[in-house]
Amino acid sequence: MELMILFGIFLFFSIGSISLLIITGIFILVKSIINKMINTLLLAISFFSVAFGFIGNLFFNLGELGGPLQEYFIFIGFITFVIFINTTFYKKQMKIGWVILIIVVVLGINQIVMHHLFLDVAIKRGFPYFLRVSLDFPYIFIVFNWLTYSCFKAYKQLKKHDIQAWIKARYVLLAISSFILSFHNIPEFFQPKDILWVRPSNPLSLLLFGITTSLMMFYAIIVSLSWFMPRSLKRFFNRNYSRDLEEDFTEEELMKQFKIQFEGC
Amino acid sequence: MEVIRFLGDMLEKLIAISPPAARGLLKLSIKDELGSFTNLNKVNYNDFLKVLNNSFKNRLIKLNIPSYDKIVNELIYELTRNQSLFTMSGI
Repeated sequence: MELMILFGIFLFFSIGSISLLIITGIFILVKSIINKMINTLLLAISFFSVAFGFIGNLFFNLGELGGPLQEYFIFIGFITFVIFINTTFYKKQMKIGWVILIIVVVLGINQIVMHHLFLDVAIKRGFPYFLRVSLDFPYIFIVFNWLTYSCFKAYKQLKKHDIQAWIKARYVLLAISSFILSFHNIPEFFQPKDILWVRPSNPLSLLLFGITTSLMMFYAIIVSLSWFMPRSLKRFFNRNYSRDLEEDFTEEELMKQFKIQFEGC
Repeated sequence: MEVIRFLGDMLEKLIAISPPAARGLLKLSIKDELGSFTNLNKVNYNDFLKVLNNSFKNRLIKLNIPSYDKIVNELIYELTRNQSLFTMSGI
């Protein structure tokens, strides 16, 4: 009975995190269209793709096909996510961005192929399973920590500048949430033999499912708050921030200022 | 507007002018390049590159500011390093 209650809670985390990703994706999609921003459009596609992959696998009982199908959606989601990072942080300095993108494409294709090849070994936990899971780790780790690194680097460069505190907080929140989610495939290493993923009858399997869904829920909440930041939260982050009133100079006023500045008259 | 604040900060350090004057110079350069009715919140990275390379540089030349090329290059370098500000402040 207790296991079923726990399973219900973890399932709620799973559904909740997917719903949050879709809602955040819709919000970003609308903002992207209004502001004509292609990079954030890619981020919205990434959220939709990952969410649909999970929905397909978890709720439509696709059996053996569920895993590979989810992997296709995750592949699209991860690729668009990396392109979003590259076009947001590395325009005109794309060398490292291309390297990361190529690595992610290779690791992603590898995951799809392995999911197709090893359909029948899903519960045996033999070498092919651990090979697939071991290669899944760098795939997820690189994708999410590419954002962690980019956000953290940008935050370090911007933190001393006169920029609203909620924008700086957005960098930090995105960096932390991505870093934590980058470890979310580790529970797969400990999945007991002969038991399929997400089986409430087995305590260890349930615990691993719980860890994964809790990480997803944490990620989804922080990411949603970061992008869909309500005014009250912006005010909270800006509580110690004040800025001088914006003056609009006319051409003449500005030239006068410069004259005083440079000629001392 | 956050990008203008950021570049204003950088410009203040480069030519020792007050931050409001630095921002004013940037805003006038944007209007020169992109038109008087340009929404400053909608100016993107590529627009800014154009502004810095053209109208902003011309204004520095007119103001007899020495090493204007170095200043423009420095601002472009910082803008490129911190281009994510357009997205992070724009959503």
